[in-house]
Amino acid sequence: MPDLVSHAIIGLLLCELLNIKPKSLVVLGALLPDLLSKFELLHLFFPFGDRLYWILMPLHTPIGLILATFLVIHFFNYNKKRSYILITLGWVSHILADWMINRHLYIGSFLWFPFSWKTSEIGIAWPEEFYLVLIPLVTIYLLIRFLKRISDILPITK
Amino acid sequence: MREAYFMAFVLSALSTLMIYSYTYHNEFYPSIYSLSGIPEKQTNRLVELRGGEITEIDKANNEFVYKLGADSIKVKYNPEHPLRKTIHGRNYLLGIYREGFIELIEFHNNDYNYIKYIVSVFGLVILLYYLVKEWRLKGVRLCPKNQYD
Repeated sequence: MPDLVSHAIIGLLLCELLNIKPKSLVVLGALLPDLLSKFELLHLFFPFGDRLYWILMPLHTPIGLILATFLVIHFFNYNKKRSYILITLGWVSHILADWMINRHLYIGSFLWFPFSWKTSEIGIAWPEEFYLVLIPLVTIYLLIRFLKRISDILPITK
Repeated sequence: MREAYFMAFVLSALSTLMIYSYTYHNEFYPSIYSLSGIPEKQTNRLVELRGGEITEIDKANNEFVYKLGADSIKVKYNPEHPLRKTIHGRNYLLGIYREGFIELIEFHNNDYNYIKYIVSVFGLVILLYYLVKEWRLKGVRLCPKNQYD
Protein backbone atom coordinates (compact mmCIF):
# COMPACT_ATOMS: atom_id res chain seq x y z
CA MET A 1 0.00 0.00 0.00
CA PRO A 2 1.14 3.55 -0.54
CA ASP A 3 1.43 5.58 2.67
CA LEU A 4 -1.49 7.66 3.99
CA VAL A 5 0.05 10.93 2.77
CA SER A 6 0.03 9.60 -0.82
CA HIS A 7 -3.60 8.51 -0.47
CA ALA A 8 -4.56 11.90 1.02
CA ILE A 9 -2.80 13.73 -1.83
CA ILE A 10 -4.56 11.59 -4.44
CA GLY A 11 -7.84 12.68 -2.79
CA LEU A 12 -6.75 16.32 -2.77
CA LEU A 13 -5.68 16.07 -6.44
CA LEU A 14 -9.17 14.81 -7.31
CA CYS A 15 -10.64 17.79 -5.41
CA GLU A 16 -8.41 20.22 -7.29
CA LEU A 17 -9.05 18.70 -10.72
CA LEU A 18 -12.82 18.25 -10.27
CA ASN A 19 -13.29 21.40 -8.16
CA ILE A 20 -14.83 19.49 -5.27
CA LYS A 21 -15.75 20.93 -1.87
CA PRO A 22 -15.74 20.00 0.95
CA LYS A 23 -12.35 18.40 0.38
CA SER A 24 -12.33 16.70 3.78
CA LEU A 25 -14.96 14.14 2.70
CA VAL A 26 -12.85 12.99 -0.26
CA VAL A 27 -9.69 12.89 1.90
CA LEU A 28 -11.60 10.96 4.58
CA GLY A 29 -12.74 8.48 1.92
CA ALA A 30 -9.20 8.22 0.57
CA LEU A 31 -7.91 7.22 4.02
CA LEU A 32 -10.97 5.22 5.11
CA PRO A 33 -9.87 1.72 3.96
CA ASP A 34 -6.63 1.97 5.97
CA LEU A 35 -8.24 3.75 8.93
CA LEU A 36 -10.61 0.81 9.29
CA SER A 37 -8.34 -2.11 8.47
CA LYS A 38 -4.89 -1.16 9.73
CA PHE A 39 -5.73 -2.05 13.30
CA GLU A 40 -4.27 -5.37 12.16
CA LEU A 41 -0.87 -3.74 12.83
CA LEU A 42 -1.54 -4.40 16.52
CA HIS A 43 0.09 -7.73 15.73
CA LEU A 44 3.39 -5.84 15.94
CA PHE A 45 2.77 -5.43 19.67
CA PHE A 46 0.52 -8.37 20.54
CA PRO A 47 0.78 -12.06 19.52
CA PHE A 48 -2.31 -12.10 17.26
CA GLY A 49 -0.49 -13.43 14.19
CA ASP A 50 -2.54 -12.65 11.07
CA ARG A 51 -5.93 -13.20 12.75
CA LEU A 52 -6.76 -9.48 12.91
CA TYR A 53 -5.77 -9.09 9.25
CA TRP A 54 -8.37 -11.63 8.17
CA ILE A 55 -11.08 -10.25 10.48
CA LEU A 56 -10.57 -6.69 9.17
CA MET A 57 -9.82 -7.59 5.53
CA PRO A 58 -13.47 -7.01 4.34
CA LEU A 59 -13.13 -3.36 5.44
CA HIS A 60 -10.52 -2.95 2.71
CA THR A 61 -12.75 -4.32 -0.06
CA PRO A 62 -15.31 -2.45 -2.22
CA ILE A 63 -18.31 -4.26 -0.74
CA GLY A 64 -17.15 -3.63 2.84
CA LEU A 65 -16.54 0.04 2.07
CA ILE A 66 -19.92 0.45 0.37
CA LEU A 67 -21.44 -0.64 3.69
CA ALA A 68 -19.00 1.24 5.96
CA THR A 69 -19.68 4.51 4.09
CA PHE A 70 -23.33 4.33 5.19
CA LEU A 71 -22.11 4.35 8.79
CA VAL A 72 -19.54 7.13 8.29
CA ILE A 73 -21.94 9.63 6.65
CA HIS A 74 -24.03 9.61 9.82
CA PHE A 75 -21.31 11.56 11.58
CA PHE A 76 -21.85 14.45 9.15
CA ASN A 77 -24.83 16.78 9.37
CA TYR A 78 -24.78 17.36 5.63
CA ASN A 79 -26.48 16.28 2.40
CA LYS A 80 -26.38 12.47 2.76
CA LYS A 81 -26.25 11.70 -0.96
CA ARG A 82 -23.42 14.15 -1.59
CA SER A 83 -21.48 12.93 1.48
CA TYR A 84 -21.83 9.35 0.28
CA ILE A 85 -20.62 10.17 -3.24
CA LEU A 86 -17.61 12.21 -2.05
CA ILE A 87 -16.47 9.60 0.49
CA THR A 88 -16.96 6.87 -2.13
CA LEU A 89 -14.86 8.84 -4.63
CA GLY A 90 -12.12 8.90 -2.00
CA TRP A 91 -12.09 5.17 -1.22
CA VAL A 92 -12.38 4.21 -4.89
CA SER A 93 -9.17 6.22 -5.45
CA HIS A 94 -7.58 4.32 -2.54
CA ILE A 95 -8.58 0.88 -3.81
CA LEU A 96 -7.42 1.70 -7.36
CA ALA A 97 -4.11 3.12 -6.11
CA ASP A 98 -3.45 0.02 -4.00
CA TRP A 99 -4.39 -2.23 -6.92
CA MET A 100 -2.08 -0.42 -9.31
CA ILE A 101 0.88 0.29 -7.05
CA ASN A 102 1.11 -2.51 -4.47
CA ARG A 103 3.37 -5.41 -5.20
CA HIS A 104 3.08 -8.69 -3.34
CA LEU A 105 4.36 -12.20 -3.82
CA TYR A 106 0.97 -13.92 -4.02
CA ILE A 107 -1.95 -12.29 -2.19
CA GLY A 108 -2.97 -9.00 -3.87
CA SER A 109 -6.14 -6.89 -3.62
CA PHE A 110 -9.45 -8.55 -2.81
CA LEU A 111 -11.58 -6.64 -5.32
CA TRP A 112 -14.42 -9.15 -5.66
CA PHE A 113 -14.71 -10.39 -2.06
CA PRO A 114 -17.02 -12.06 -0.89
CA PHE A 115 -18.05 -13.29 -4.35
CA SER A 116 -14.54 -14.43 -5.19
CA TRP A 117 -11.37 -14.96 -3.15
CA LYS A 118 -9.18 -14.33 -6.19
CA THR A 119 -6.86 -11.38 -5.81
CA SER A 120 -5.25 -9.16 -8.42
CA GLU A 121 -2.83 -6.28 -8.72
CA ILE A 122 -0.65 -4.51 -11.26
CA GLY A 123 2.16 -4.16 -8.74
CA ILE A 124 4.49 -1.27 -9.58
CA ALA A 125 6.34 -0.98 -6.27
CA TRP A 126 6.98 -2.94 -3.08
CA PRO A 127 5.42 -1.43 0.07
CA GLU A 128 8.81 -0.19 1.31
CA GLU A 129 9.27 1.75 -1.95
CA PHE A 130 6.40 4.11 -1.03
CA TYR A 131 8.60 7.15 -1.78
CA LEU A 132 8.45 6.28 -5.51
CA VAL A 133 4.79 7.29 -5.39
CA LEU A 134 4.90 9.90 -2.63
CA ILE A 135 7.53 12.22 -4.13
CA PRO A 136 5.93 12.53 -7.62
CA LEU A 137 2.47 12.99 -6.06
CA VAL A 138 3.63 15.79 -3.74
CA THR A 139 5.39 17.46 -6.69
CA ILE A 140 2.33 17.24 -8.94
CA TYR A 141 0.02 18.52 -6.18
CA LEU A 142 2.25 21.50 -5.37
CA LEU A 143 2.57 22.26 -9.09
CA ILE A 144 -1.21 22.26 -9.57
CA ARG A 145 -1.70 24.49 -6.49
CA PHE A 146 0.98 26.84 -7.82
CA LEU A 147 -0.59 27.01 -11.30
CA LYS A 148 -4.04 27.65 -9.77
CA ARG A 149 -2.57 30.44 -7.62
CA ILE A 150 -0.87 31.95 -10.68
CA SER A 151 -4.08 31.79 -12.72
CA ASP A 152 -5.87 33.64 -9.90
CA ILE A 153 -3.22 36.39 -9.82
CA LEU A 154 -2.59 36.86 -13.53
CA PRO A 155 -5.59 38.28 -15.40
CA ILE A 156 -4.16 37.01 -18.70
CA THR A 157 -5.24 33.45 -17.95
CA LYS A 158 -8.83 34.44 -17.09
CA MET B 1 -36.97 4.14 12.96
CA ARG B 2 -36.47 3.02 9.34
CA GLU B 3 -32.97 4.50 9.52
CA ALA B 4 -32.19 2.54 12.69
CA TYR B 5 -33.23 -0.72 11.00
CA PHE B 6 -31.06 0.14 8.01
CA MET B 7 -28.06 0.85 10.24
CA ALA B 8 -28.64 -2.45 12.05
CA PHE B 9 -28.69 -4.19 8.66
CA VAL B 10 -25.43 -2.49 7.61
CA LEU B 11 -23.70 -3.44 10.87
CA SER B 12 -24.95 -7.03 10.61
CA ALA B 13 -23.77 -7.29 6.99
CA LEU B 14 -20.32 -5.95 7.91
CA SER B 15 -20.05 -8.32 10.86
CA THR B 16 -21.09 -11.24 8.64
CA LEU B 17 -18.38 -10.35 6.10
CA MET B 18 -15.76 -10.19 8.85
CA ILE B 19 -16.83 -13.52 10.33
CA TYR B 20 -16.90 -15.09 6.85
CA SER B 21 -13.40 -13.80 6.06
CA TYR B 22 -11.96 -15.02 9.38
CA THR B 23 -13.66 -18.40 9.16
CA TYR B 24 -13.07 -19.30 5.52
CA HIS B 25 -9.76 -17.68 4.54
CA ASN B 26 -7.87 -20.86 5.44
CA GLU B 27 -9.60 -22.63 2.54
CA PHE B 28 -7.88 -20.22 0.13
CA TYR B 29 -4.97 -18.59 1.97
CA PRO B 30 -3.93 -20.75 4.93
CA SER B 31 -2.65 -19.00 8.05
CA ILE B 32 0.33 -20.24 10.00
CA TYR B 33 -1.96 -21.44 12.83
CA SER B 34 -4.11 -23.47 10.43
CA LEU B 35 -0.99 -25.17 9.02
CA SER B 36 -0.01 -26.51 12.40
CA GLY B 37 -3.63 -27.48 13.15
CA ILE B 38 -4.61 -29.55 10.11
CA PRO B 39 -1.46 -30.56 8.25
CA GLU B 40 -2.89 -33.32 5.99
CA LYS B 41 -5.49 -31.02 4.46
CA GLN B 42 -3.00 -28.27 3.71
CA THR B 43 -0.15 -30.37 2.27
CA ASN B 44 1.31 -29.23 -1.08
CA ARG B 45 -0.54 -25.95 -0.97
CA LEU B 46 0.93 -22.59 -1.91
CA VAL B 47 1.27 -20.47 1.22
CA GLU B 48 2.07 -16.79 1.72
CA LEU B 49 2.90 -15.58 5.21
CA ARG B 50 3.45 -11.92 6.07
CA GLY B 51 4.89 -9.90 8.89
CA GLY B 52 6.61 -12.63 10.85
CA GLU B 53 10.26 -12.94 11.77
CA ILE B 54 13.06 -15.35 11.00
CA THR B 55 14.36 -17.06 14.10
CA GLU B 56 16.74 -19.94 14.69
CA ILE B 57 18.57 -20.11 11.35
CA ASP B 58 20.18 -23.52 10.91
CA LYS B 59 22.65 -23.02 8.05
CA ALA B 60 23.90 -26.61 8.21
CA ASN B 61 20.44 -27.98 7.30
CA ASN B 62 19.31 -24.93 5.28
CA GLU B 63 16.30 -24.25 7.45
CA PHE B 64 14.94 -21.63 9.80
CA VAL B 65 11.94 -21.08 12.04
CA TYR B 66 9.42 -18.47 10.90
CA LYS B 67 7.55 -16.98 13.85
CA LEU B 68 4.27 -15.09 13.46
CA GLY B 69 2.55 -14.08 16.67
CA ALA B 70 2.35 -17.06 18.98
CA ASP B 71 2.75 -19.56 16.10
CA SER B 72 5.86 -20.74 14.30
CA ILE B 73 6.78 -23.12 11.49
CA LYS B 74 9.95 -24.65 10.09
CA VAL B 75 10.99 -23.39 6.63
CA LYS B 76 13.50 -25.15 4.35
CA TYR B 77 15.30 -22.94 1.88
CA ASN B 78 17.64 -23.22 -1.05
CA PRO B 79 21.14 -22.15 0.07
CA GLU B 80 21.71 -20.49 -3.33
CA HIS B 81 19.11 -17.87 -2.43
CA PRO B 82 20.42 -15.22 -0.03
CA LEU B 83 18.48 -15.09 3.23
CA ARG B 84 18.67 -12.57 6.03
CA LYS B 85 16.54 -10.99 8.73
CA THR B 86 14.37 -7.97 7.84
CA ILE B 87 15.66 -4.56 8.94
CA HIS B 88 12.95 -2.39 10.57
CA GLY B 89 10.14 -3.77 8.46
CA ARG B 90 7.88 -6.62 7.53
CA ASN B 91 8.44 -9.43 5.06
CA TYR B 92 6.67 -11.78 2.66
CA LEU B 93 7.30 -15.49 2.61
CA LEU B 94 6.03 -17.60 -0.28
CA GLY B 95 6.38 -21.35 -0.22
CA ILE B 96 4.74 -24.73 -0.60
CA TYR B 97 3.51 -26.44 2.54
CA ARG B 98 4.88 -29.94 2.92
CA GLU B 99 3.91 -32.01 5.92
CA GLY B 100 5.29 -30.15 8.92
CA PHE B 101 7.35 -27.53 7.12
CA ILE B 102 7.31 -24.96 4.28
CA GLU B 103 9.53 -25.32 1.24
CA LEU B 104 10.57 -21.76 0.46
CA ILE B 105 10.00 -20.40 -3.05
CA GLU B 106 10.63 -16.70 -2.44
CA PHE B 107 11.32 -14.42 0.49
CA HIS B 108 11.08 -10.64 0.31
CA ASN B 109 12.27 -8.25 3.00
CA ASN B 110 10.34 -4.96 3.31
CA ASP B 111 13.40 -3.26 4.82
CA TYR B 112 12.71 0.07 6.55
CA ASN B 113 8.99 -0.33 5.81
CA TYR B 114 8.15 1.02 9.29
CA ILE B 115 9.21 4.49 8.05
CA LYS B 116 6.01 4.39 5.98
CA TYR B 117 3.91 4.13 9.13
CA ILE B 118 5.68 7.18 10.59
CA VAL B 119 5.12 9.12 7.34
CA SER B 120 1.46 8.02 7.41
CA VAL B 121 0.90 9.99 10.62
CA PHE B 122 1.18 13.13 8.45
CA GLY B 123 -1.67 11.73 6.33
CA LEU B 124 -3.83 11.81 9.45
CA VAL B 125 -2.66 15.37 10.12
CA ILE B 126 -3.82 16.37 6.58
CA LEU B 127 -7.23 14.79 7.27
CA LEU B 128 -7.54 16.53 10.65
CA TYR B 129 -6.54 19.87 9.08
CA TYR B 130 -9.33 19.71 6.48
CA LEU B 131 -11.88 18.41 8.99
CA VAL B 132 -11.17 21.27 11.40
CA LYS B 133 -11.10 23.77 8.52
CA GLU B 134 -14.43 22.72 6.99
CA TRP B 135 -16.52 21.37 9.89
CA ARG B 136 -17.53 22.23 13.41
CA LEU B 137 -18.50 19.69 16.02
CA LYS B 138 -22.12 19.79 17.19
CA GLY B 139 -22.87 16.95 19.59
CA VAL B 140 -21.53 13.79 17.94
CA ARG B 141 -22.00 15.15 14.41
CA LEU B 142 -19.99 17.50 12.25
CA CYS B 143 -21.72 20.50 10.68
CA PRO B 144 -20.29 22.35 7.66
CA LYS B 145 -18.78 25.78 8.41
CA ASN B 146 -19.66 27.01 4.90
CA GLN B 147 -22.47 26.41 2.48
CA TYR B 148 -21.18 23.97 -0.15
CA ASP B 149 -22.99 22.77 -3.29
